[in-house]
Amino acid sequence: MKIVVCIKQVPDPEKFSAGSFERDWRLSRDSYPKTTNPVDKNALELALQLAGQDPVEVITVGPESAKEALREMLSIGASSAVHVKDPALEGADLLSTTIALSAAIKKRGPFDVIICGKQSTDAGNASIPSMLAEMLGLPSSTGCEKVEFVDGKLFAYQPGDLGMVVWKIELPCVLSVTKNINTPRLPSLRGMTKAMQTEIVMYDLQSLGIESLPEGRLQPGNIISSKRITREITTQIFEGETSQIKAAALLMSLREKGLIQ
Amino acid sequence: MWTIGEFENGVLSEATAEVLGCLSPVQDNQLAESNLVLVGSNLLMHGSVFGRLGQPVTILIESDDLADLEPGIVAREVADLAQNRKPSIIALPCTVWGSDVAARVAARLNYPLVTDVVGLDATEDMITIERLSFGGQNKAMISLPAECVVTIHKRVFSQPRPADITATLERLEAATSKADIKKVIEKVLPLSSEGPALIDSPVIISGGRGMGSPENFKLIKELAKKLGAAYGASRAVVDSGWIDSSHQVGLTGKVVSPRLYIACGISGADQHLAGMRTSDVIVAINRDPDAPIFKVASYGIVGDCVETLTQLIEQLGK
Repeated sequence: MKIVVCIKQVPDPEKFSAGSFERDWRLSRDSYPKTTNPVDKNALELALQLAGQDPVEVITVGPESAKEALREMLSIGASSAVHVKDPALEGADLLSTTIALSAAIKKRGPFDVIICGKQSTDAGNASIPSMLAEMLGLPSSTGCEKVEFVDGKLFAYQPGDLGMVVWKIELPCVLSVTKNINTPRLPSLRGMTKAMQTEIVMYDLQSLGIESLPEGRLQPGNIISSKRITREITTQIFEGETSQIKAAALLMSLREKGLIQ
Repeated sequence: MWTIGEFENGVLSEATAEVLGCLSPVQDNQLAESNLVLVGSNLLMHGSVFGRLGQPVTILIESDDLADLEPGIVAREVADLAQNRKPSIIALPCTVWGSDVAARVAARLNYPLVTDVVGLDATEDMITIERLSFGGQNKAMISLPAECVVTIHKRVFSQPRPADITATLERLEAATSKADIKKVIEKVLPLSSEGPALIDSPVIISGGRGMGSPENFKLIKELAKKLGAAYGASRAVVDSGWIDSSHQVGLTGKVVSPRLYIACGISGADQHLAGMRTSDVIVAINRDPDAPIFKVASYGIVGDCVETLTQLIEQLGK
């Protein structure tokens, strides 16, 4: 089965600090420790499981540093890596990013399955998988917690309000996965050596045949402000000799506010 | 403006009504006509609610083949109609279904997409939108001149005031045929009965490493059960294997926003705060008075978590 995994490099969510939102996020991003979007590793793990002996390709749209994320995926088990990079894509919105991504996938394909992580830890729109599917004219299932491939049929398990919906989807298709789907394998020593030696395939917009991005796209100029939310909170600490007294005071306050019965 | 309606258990969802509520100030200022657009089969059976929602025109796109309400098909029907009618805002609830439909409509129309909207305002030639990112830690204000697709954050906007108007119905036939459908529901498995789902629960009790041991962590579940609440955990606890990752709250786990969030033995790393700081009321129980969790908490108890939880459970039992 021929599979491509779409990944993103994000500011490291484990190294969040209060200072990071002082300025326009887009500007401060460069000076921040970066990592591969965590759930993208679950996407790669699913790809490696479904692909069997077939090679798995990884692809990203991003700045020069995004190569680090591609190399990490190569060290874990991907066979080849594609990097779409263009000055016109700096600060790209969902629409522009997906146009570039879908063009690259068309150029590299056809693929049987295209797998993404459910959402990034930074912008966190969780929209690209569905947008990508629409641009490629394919069915999709998002937020999959389990995927089965039985007798040539693909079943995607999507949690919903009423229960786990099991969709039967025709191939080729686009899937996005959550952290619950599997436990990603770790990079191997051999993989790390291979990752350093693998040549990353590069595309810019022109080489993908994209002459211009849509007029209606969001550009950095559309963002009027971007700031960390600060809430002025006064914390009421319940004092008391014993846990019993403190617990009683807490319960009384919560009941007064109608937060508990 | 169009609101695309979502059905839940066969009725229009609350989240859909909230979208109408979000758009109603724009409608009241007569800047745009507001239409409710529904895609599905047998839509007339919902007729009684159309006028009450204050939408002068309801567009129904119907076909018997649309029973699954598969997002890809719904999006195609909506987008192809929008191609002709050119609505300036297409709004959906920010739910699993709404997000999928919105993404596909935007991609099909080449419209910009703004998700997780918590504020929306319009003048004659400009739409201003507020959205959350970084797990609710950051708020961005975006202004757009023209058409866009938006998804509206749940539980931010009130439903519109009940109206008593006669909605004009426009009934259209869906273009979808059976051959277009590439994705069908095979089955729906019922949710496990282990308490309410984390994401939707109005009350959440979460435990961190400060609980001390997996044995003590059971107190979290016990208190949750007493309060009819869902229970969550910090990443440290999930990584230690005390509980499975479906309960993890945080930027790399689930992002929740309940009315009441009780954090026990959770220090409050930014990673965790990103997953719960938009909760209405946060209670922190921690031995360390300097733990960052107290900075976001409305109520706090400085003390031993096990003792405090044991007391809470006991006193609730009375």
